[in-house]
Amino acid sequence: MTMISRRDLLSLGGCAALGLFARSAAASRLSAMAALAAPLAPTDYKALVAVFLAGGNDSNNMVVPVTGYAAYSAVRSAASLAIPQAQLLTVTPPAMGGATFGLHPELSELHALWGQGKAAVVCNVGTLVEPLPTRADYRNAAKKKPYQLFSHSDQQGIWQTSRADTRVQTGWGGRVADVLACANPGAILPMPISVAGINVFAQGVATRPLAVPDSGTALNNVFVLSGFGSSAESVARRAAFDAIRGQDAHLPLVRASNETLQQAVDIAALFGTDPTLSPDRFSGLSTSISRQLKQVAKLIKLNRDAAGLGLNRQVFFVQQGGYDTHQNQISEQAALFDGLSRSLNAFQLTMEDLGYGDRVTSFTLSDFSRTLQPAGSGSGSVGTDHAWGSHHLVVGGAVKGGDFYGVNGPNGSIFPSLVLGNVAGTSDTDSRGRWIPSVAVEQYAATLARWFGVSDANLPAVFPNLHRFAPPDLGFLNPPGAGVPGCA
Amino acid sequence: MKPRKIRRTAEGVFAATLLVCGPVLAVDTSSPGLVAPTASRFYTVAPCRAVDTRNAPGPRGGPALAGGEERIFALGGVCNVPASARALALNLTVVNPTAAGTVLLFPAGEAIPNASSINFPALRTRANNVIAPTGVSGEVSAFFGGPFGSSVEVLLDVVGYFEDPAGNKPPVVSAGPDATLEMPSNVLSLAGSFTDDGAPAGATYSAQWDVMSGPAGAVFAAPGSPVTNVTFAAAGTYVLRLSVSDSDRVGFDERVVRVVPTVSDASRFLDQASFGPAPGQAEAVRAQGLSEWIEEQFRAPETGYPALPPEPGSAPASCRSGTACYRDKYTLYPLQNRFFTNALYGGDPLRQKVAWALHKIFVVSGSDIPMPSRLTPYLRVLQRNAFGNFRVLLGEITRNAAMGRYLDLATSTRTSPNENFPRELLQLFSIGTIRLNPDGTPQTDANGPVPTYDQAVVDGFTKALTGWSLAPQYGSGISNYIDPMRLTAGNHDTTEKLLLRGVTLPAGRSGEEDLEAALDNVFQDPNVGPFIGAQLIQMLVTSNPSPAYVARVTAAFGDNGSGIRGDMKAVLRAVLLDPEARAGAAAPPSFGRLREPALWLVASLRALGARSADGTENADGYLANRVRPLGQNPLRPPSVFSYFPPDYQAPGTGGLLGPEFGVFSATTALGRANLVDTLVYNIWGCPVSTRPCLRPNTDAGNPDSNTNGVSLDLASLVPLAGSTAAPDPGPFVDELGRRLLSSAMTPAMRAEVVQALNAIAPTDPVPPSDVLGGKFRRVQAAVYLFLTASPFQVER
Repeated sequence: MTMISRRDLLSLGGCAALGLFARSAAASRLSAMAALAAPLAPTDYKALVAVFLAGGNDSNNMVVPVTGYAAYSAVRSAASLAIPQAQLLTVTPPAMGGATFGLHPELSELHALWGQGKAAVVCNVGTLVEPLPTRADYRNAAKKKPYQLFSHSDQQGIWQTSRADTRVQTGWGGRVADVLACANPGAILPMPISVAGINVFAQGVATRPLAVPDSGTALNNVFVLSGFGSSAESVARRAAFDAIRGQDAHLPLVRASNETLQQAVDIAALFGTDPTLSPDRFSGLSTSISRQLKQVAKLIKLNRDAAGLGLNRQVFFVQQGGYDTHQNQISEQAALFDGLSRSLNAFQLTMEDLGYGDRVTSFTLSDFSRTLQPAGSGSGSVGTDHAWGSHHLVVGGAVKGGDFYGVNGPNGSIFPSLVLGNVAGTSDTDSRGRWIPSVAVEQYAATLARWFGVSDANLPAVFPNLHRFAPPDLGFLNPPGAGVPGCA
Repeated sequence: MKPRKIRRTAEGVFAATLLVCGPVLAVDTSSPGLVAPTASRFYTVAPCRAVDTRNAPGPRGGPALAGGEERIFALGGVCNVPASARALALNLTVVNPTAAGTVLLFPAGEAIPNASSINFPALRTRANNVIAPTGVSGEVSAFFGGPFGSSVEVLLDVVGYFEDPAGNKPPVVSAGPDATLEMPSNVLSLAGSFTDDGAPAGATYSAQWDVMSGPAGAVFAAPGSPVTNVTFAAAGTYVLRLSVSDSDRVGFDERVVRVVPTVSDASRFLDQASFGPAPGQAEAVRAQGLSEWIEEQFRAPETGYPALPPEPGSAPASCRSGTACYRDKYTLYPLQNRFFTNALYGGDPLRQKVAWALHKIFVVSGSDIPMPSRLTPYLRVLQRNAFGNFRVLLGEITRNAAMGRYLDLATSTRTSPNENFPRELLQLFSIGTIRLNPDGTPQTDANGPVPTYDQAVVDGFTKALTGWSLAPQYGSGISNYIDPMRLTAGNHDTTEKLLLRGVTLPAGRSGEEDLEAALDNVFQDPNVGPFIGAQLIQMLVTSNPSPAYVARVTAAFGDNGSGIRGDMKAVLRAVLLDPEARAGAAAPPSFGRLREPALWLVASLRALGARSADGTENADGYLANRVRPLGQNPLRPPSVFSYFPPDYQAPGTGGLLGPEFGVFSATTALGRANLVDTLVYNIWGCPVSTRPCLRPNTDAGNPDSNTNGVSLDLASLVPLAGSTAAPDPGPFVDELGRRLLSSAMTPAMRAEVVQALNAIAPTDPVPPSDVLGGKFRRVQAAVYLFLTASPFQVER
């Protein structure tokens, strides 16, 4: 592996006085040197892996009632949008009192994890400002609704920020990292890493996420500053390159550019090797989501093994696009679910290989679910429009799997009625099958954050609206156990 | 501003210098305006047709008056009416108006009044008797207050006129000669003067300077004095008018003042209005003038994306994947190349820059529409309307087939409505989700930001826009993406629709009528100006414009000076010539914008003479593969939300906006530096005469191959890089500062680059061990340091 040379360290130290980082540059560089001097290994490792199903996943076809299939079929069969009952992968969640449900046929690997108690479904989760138990509450102008319901960018933003009442520039992944920064003392590598570009989920008040490409790029090629050697000319050019990066601090946009490049230079020193996954559980998978999750697995392994890393807490963000199925949903969603199921399974197996099977939890997010009523007509054209509450998957050894979780809706069940329109017991906003969520994003997120180690005292800082919803913990994860090392 | 009254001091002739000398100047504060006009006498004439717009085009003929148009008719001397007539007695007739509206007659040169001369419904002939006051030389202005795109024929029949029996003539005014100022000199002395005939008896005189056209920010020291100073905040061409009243009639004269920008400002301007300055271009545009360059660009022919013939949706056997045929007809390859060659070498850079900005607002992504023959009509809508009217752009984009496919309007029907396009029409293409003030700041009430619409409005627009689908295909499997979409009447929802601001479309209208009415409803929304205007500022000039800057652009969107809303030329003039855009060193620290990856690379290449690495003169533009890893795949944004969000905040700045930071991470920042390394240092695979280069590769069938390669003309810089006799690299570093940093390089950065270059002896090549030579390595080192420096990443 490539070690940071003494010269690099001196140059880092020399730069430190320039104060490039918002967080004290001197402190971060000194800590880099300290980390090299005394490599840490994770002592109490946990990771959260957010899997964003971008475009709005139609969860009506992800989890289908078998008991009561007729209500589903009545709306979707005529347009050839229903999953045939015989193809569904059946589950019998204890929480549903004996009723049988089916997972989409392409989720066979997840169905197997379900059987092992490592996968669960959280029902009808969505963006909420305050509880809206009934359709009348939704239609009551005095009740607060999320801004711009049914709009991709806004609802994606709310799922990532957890704030349905206002736009904010921090995500709940970033805020979790803010309050748990104590778990990774002296780390140069940020707690959150996105393998799907920059997004608000992992932006904190003091936390700036790292974005890395998927496993198509070897980790030791992710952060390499090319073209500098040891000749006097090269050393002089490098000195100027480093010094210019410390100038113009009074110009905020120039400084932001400088700090971003500085972060890259710092991290380049840490990413010296490309870990090998053995066995390679991702072998044979070629989708973008598989490459992203493989890169996450490699990052987790690198963190476990490499000098200078050893973070105790990491947050990852990956994204699978293509769920905006206004058209041609049956074939497009099937292909996406196939890739998702295989990739999540390979990832869970890899975590078990690394000894982290119950220390890493993956979970889905999505803009919204989609209308139960089909949209469009004609061959290949049938799809669905933007809706609201959706079912979500949680995977990992810490998950109390094999069950449904949620909050009862107007039908007295955590799973919504599939009857359209203004009918007693339904939670349709209109007449097309847009379910009013019975679980707020904040409850779903807070359950994950508590397991991750966010103390109850810190929950309001991360989730300011959580107090409006009950319960704050949906119970789909094992208890968090003792406090986080390094955190008060 | 209230005109100052000046008492007559000598019979007939008044020297302007007297007017500002205190003792002979008496200010009459008793009357707020001009004194009451003297009585006029009425003369009849035989009824005579003075204007008929149905006639052949001419000063008193056609064409018909367009909605929002003001036209001046010179009637002095016509129909036996003397030029000294003060008002005309007219029979005003309107014929065949295509829309309901009003016609206003008023003295030429004055503002459009509130009072109409005639009101009429659509398609009816109406007449009215009008007494129409004339301007200085007998001109009458006619304004048609009708909707954009409508027209009306106007007839003026003269039956008499009024004339002042005293024959008072307006003062004869001289505003002084035309002048040119060169920035940073920006103050001009004005020495206006006038003479008068002495009438009316007891006249008092008042003077007034006004800016008739030009950038905002010209300030007169004493606007009521013919002799004063004017200070210009920004370069540009100004028309200044001196008006003098004799208390009855007003005379005026105008002078043109050109304020030439600094080279630094011209260079900055070229970053904003084009794809960055090429060597020598800033000096040329400085001499030409910024507004003159803009007007020239407005006239330049479209060269960006030539029309392509339709192609079958499935590649035929003769055009298999992996062939050049497939690459050119079924992948984005030729269009992405074209984007770069347009930007590097095109003759209509302002049009292409604005079309690029419009693409980032009205997104259709090549991810869904990869065929060049299908995406090109969309790109042509953008470039065709870049200097047109925003309402026309809305209409063409709404009917565009690629957009219809991308956002599903092409399959939205009465029974299966699809709200994808209608929602984005409102949210992204016109008004946004929050009600804005004209200065772009959000409107709030007790519940927080005020939303612009709710789901009921989205439903209304969805219904209004049902029934459209692709025009008949050209042949089996050859879909029609060239013609606008067609309406199928039976697929249109004819029920009532709720639109913005509580407007309701009545039931029973046709799909065409509903589409036009829905787009009119959007176009007239007060949010369009600040929502679109602020984004254009962000995309062309600065990420964080002041509210006042946004308000000025909003005003230009609302009225181009002739009462027309949505004139993109007026908007672009306002964006590019605003004092805030032109402030240069006086701009606030937050000024500027991070160059997005594609434009960062193009600006680098333009400043340093991009050419083809295979020896032909111009690069083929195959650069998309170079900027894709930097977070931007041109013409293929990841979603309808474009490449990055307009409200993305630059990290660590306490909330400053920096949209382009949305694709600027540690990874892509490092990627920029490493691309510069390749561009400046790679000689592997490059012909000797063009090294270093992005190397050529002739695997023509592979879209990921770099067919001809790209090279910087570093060799031309070698003579500037110092020599053994004169080793100081300072002048060379200064030259790069002019080319790449708009002459705004800091002494601190200069010192660092000079120090790095001083480590390299400026020697000539000594083959075979030293094939490039020290001078060349100096050029490489300096270019590397400039292109990777944050002051170049952020244009400001």
